[in-house]
Amino acid sequence: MNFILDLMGSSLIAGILFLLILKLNLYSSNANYYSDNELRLQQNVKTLAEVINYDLRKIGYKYDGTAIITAEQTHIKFYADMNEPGTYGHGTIDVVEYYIGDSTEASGTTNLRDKVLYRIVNYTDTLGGPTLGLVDFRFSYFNSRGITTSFLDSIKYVKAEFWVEPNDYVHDFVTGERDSSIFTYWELTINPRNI
Amino acid sequence: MGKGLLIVTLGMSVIISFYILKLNANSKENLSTTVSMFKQTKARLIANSGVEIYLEKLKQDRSMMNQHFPNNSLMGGNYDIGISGPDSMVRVTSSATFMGVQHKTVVEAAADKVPLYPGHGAMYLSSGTVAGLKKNAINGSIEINGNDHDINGNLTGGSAVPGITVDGETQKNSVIAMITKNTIDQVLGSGGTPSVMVTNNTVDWVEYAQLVADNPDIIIDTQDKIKTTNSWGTVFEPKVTFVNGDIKINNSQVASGCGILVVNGSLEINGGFNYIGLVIAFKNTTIDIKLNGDAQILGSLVVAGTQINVDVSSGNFKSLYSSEALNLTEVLLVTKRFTILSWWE
Repeated sequence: MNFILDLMGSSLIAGILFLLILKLNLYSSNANYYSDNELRLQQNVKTLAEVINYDLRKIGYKYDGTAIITAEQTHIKFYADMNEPGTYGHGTIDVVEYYIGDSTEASGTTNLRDKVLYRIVNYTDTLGGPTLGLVDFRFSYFNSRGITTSFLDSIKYVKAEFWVEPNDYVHDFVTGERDSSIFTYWELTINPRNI
Repeated sequence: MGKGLLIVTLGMSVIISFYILKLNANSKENLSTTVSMFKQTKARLIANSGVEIYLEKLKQDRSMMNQHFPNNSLMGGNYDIGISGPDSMVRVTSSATFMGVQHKTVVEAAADKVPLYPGHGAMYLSSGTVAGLKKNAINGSIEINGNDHDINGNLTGGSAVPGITVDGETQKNSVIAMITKNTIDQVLGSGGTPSVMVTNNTVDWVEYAQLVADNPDIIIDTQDKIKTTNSWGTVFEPKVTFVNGDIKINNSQVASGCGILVVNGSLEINGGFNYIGLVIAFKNTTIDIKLNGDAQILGSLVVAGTQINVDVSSGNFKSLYSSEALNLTEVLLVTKRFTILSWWE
């Protein structure tokens, strides 16, 4: 009789321990996922910022005249010599264009909102790349006094804002619903020295 | 049972440890992503600042052209500078390193001389200055002479310009009324006595003064910089001098100079003052000359500030037009300014 009671008691304790380990494992997986996701978001947004930062600082480089051709909320086009002094291609003025695509173009991810940011150099060299979770992108333009302007020759500052979400949604293990609350926002205001 | 518990506890500890290590690694990586952006920004700022610093140095020392200046420290990083010319296309290359991150900035600039616009007469008073004139703004033993003088202050017999020029008839009447009231009979020059004439001023003196003030050889911005004897350029080496702030030359001090003198602030002259060239007062300038000695401006005086008060209790104040002084300043002034042609960063 004692043996049966011992067996039942130890089974109960073992069961409780097993459930605790299971829950801990689920919790740690979830926390790991969030942590990984946050890291990936941060890295993605930094990559985008580096690309934008590098290009926008070149606006008007070596170009005489009004360097910005198009200044819209999701579309910018400008003249600049994009090649570093002393490298091949330096001395030729390029036309660089950025615009954001439609969310239907990023079909390889389960996030229905992510979009591709296109970078076109000289009308032909189109670089779309992965979405990097980009869901929205906006440019704003300011004159020398920091006031929003639409006059191309008055633009002295370009502000870029972007919102990045995870490429793939997963179901929250507690609620069972798709998680869509994570996003990263980045903004940078650039004063291109050549305009 | 004891062994079982030990195994379970150890197992859970291992799982928790791995979990903590993973989170910690992510957190570290996250931080390094942000720090990396910071490092890039800092390296860029150091490189850009290096260019600015060396362009300023180059303005003062032309022998720096076509040289290399490695290992300059700035903001926790360092930068190397290379300068190559000619003057019409100065290229400054700055390579900065901050915590292992490198950035290169290449700037091309053209050096040219600060232009000199001669004044319209011995003294020009802008509309703003005339509006702020007090009843006794110019009073005492004063000579404002638009006849042409040489570098030593002697009459040359060359073409005369007005003693005082203003922007319109209203201003002219105000100035004449003040001169008559204070019985100043030494406003000489073209157009009779008192020689006060309306000029067609096409120079934006405030903008010009700002341009000159941006490229000074000498900056007087604190009272500490006023010594017993002050030299702001010579006829052999004219300078651009910028007086910025409230500066006083007291009766135990003397100042002399040659070139362009730009004043922004309050310049109070009680001591000796002798300047050859162009003097411009602009922005919020109040020129207060309360003389107990002699003061002379040989060239032209442009007052485009808010006020001028010349009150000579003993001694003399002379503002004498001199085309020779102005020409000399124009020819010999070597102050360079740099116009940025392109900036790669």
